[in-house]
Amino acid sequence: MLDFITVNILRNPPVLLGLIAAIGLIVQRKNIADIIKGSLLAAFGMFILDTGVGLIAGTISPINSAFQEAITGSTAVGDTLNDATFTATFGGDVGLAMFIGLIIHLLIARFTKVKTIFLTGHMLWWFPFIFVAAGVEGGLSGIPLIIFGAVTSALYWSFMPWIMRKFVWDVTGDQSFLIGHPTGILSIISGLVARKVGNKEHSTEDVKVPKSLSFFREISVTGALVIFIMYLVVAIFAPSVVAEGENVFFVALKQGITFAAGLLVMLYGVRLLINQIIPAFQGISEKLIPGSIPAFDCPILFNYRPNAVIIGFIVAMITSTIMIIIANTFNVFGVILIPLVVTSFFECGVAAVIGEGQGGLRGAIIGTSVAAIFMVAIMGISVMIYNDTIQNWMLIFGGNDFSLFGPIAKLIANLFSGVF
Amino acid sequence: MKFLAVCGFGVGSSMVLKMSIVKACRARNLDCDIENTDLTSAKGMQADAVFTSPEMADDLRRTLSCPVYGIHKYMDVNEVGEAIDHFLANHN
Repeated sequence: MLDFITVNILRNPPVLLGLIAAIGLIVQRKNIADIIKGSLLAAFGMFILDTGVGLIAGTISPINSAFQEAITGSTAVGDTLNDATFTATFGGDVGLAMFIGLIIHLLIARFTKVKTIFLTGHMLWWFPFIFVAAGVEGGLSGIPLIIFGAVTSALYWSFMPWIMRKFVWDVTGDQSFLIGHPTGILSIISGLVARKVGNKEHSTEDVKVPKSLSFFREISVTGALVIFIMYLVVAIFAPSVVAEGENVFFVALKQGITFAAGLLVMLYGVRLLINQIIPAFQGISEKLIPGSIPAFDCPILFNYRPNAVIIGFIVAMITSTIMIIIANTFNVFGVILIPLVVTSFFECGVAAVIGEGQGGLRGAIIGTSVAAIFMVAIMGISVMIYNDTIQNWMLIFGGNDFSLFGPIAKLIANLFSGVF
Repeated sequence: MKFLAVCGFGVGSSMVLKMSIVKACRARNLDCDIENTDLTSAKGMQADAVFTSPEMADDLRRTLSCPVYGIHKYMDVNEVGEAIDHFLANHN
């Protein structure tokens, strides 16, 4: 019986996530048609999400295998797990860790002074995802793995937005909301540096930023361009990335397009999945937890300092790409790092806004550059730690709190895995 | 009637905006379909009105034929409500 449940539900992410969504919809007292529709949409979302991650990982992994081959003369022996098989195998554990983690998170808000209610939907999925992967890397499995993922995620959701609240409120001018986003450590660094070296007399918002730069906001387009260029460059150093008889330019173009398409597919999957869960979560917290403060996704803060976001993106992109070229040239991490488009835009965008709040234009620029250097360093460490699970995913979405707390969680998991 | 809430990634802040639109519509007894999505996908979708940040609004106006409203504070139901009232007065 237990085996039957494990195989067909717990290790079957679409079914499990559909069930979790059904619970959420029942709690909201939706009618039966909405419950069936919502649960199915969540199940589709899980499957689509997995497909998107597979597409993205598929465009990144050839770069590193080609380099491995160029350096060692042989391809790596087949890993037991990779990004796609991790989600398919452990997606159910991630789902359960999310569900239990949310309950712990609500209890923290109800019974302590830390009143965060974390409402950034996709991050409710990605934090258990990286913490469960850290647990797997640390040797945990079964119920201890799920509890581990749940507790670490809940602690993150409650504490990080709370720790950085003063920086956020300096920007907004009121105390209406928090930021719930893995920019955490990068924004704190930027804020602290900006406070020391900044000058509040000149604001980023006085600078005239050309309108044409705003196409960076379309992250799929920027991502496609970066992967396209990356393949052209990699082909010079590791020609095996292009199969014999194929044209470098068109291989690069195809990979760029596949990457961007994978990104859009993944986002669509996350949206279907999370949209069924967030309204329930918000409803429960509004009813049961007086005085709670919602933590929102980072672009909510972008509207307060739109120029700082673009300036921060450019500063972070330049600083981090220089760091990445240095790291790749000397093979510091044993893995080829990819320019961090997503993290430079969203995470460093917030870092720049926070830097501006503490120290004007100068604060935003210097704060963001320091944060970007730190971003590449933790990125490199985390891809080494996540060697057997979500390395390729980390190469695209890391460099932030995922890369900081993931490795720390792995060390803790190592300690526990001796006990259980 | 169909409204679209749009942000860069289409998962986080557009969800917040969507919840504000839902509240504003409920207050006006409007029966409409509300979805949230990302900037790229929005350009391939049909809607009666689109709500997004002031920066992205410029971009979307170039590709979409329906009215596009730039919202400064996504969780501000009043601001969203004013945009909806403007839409109802001018386009319905």
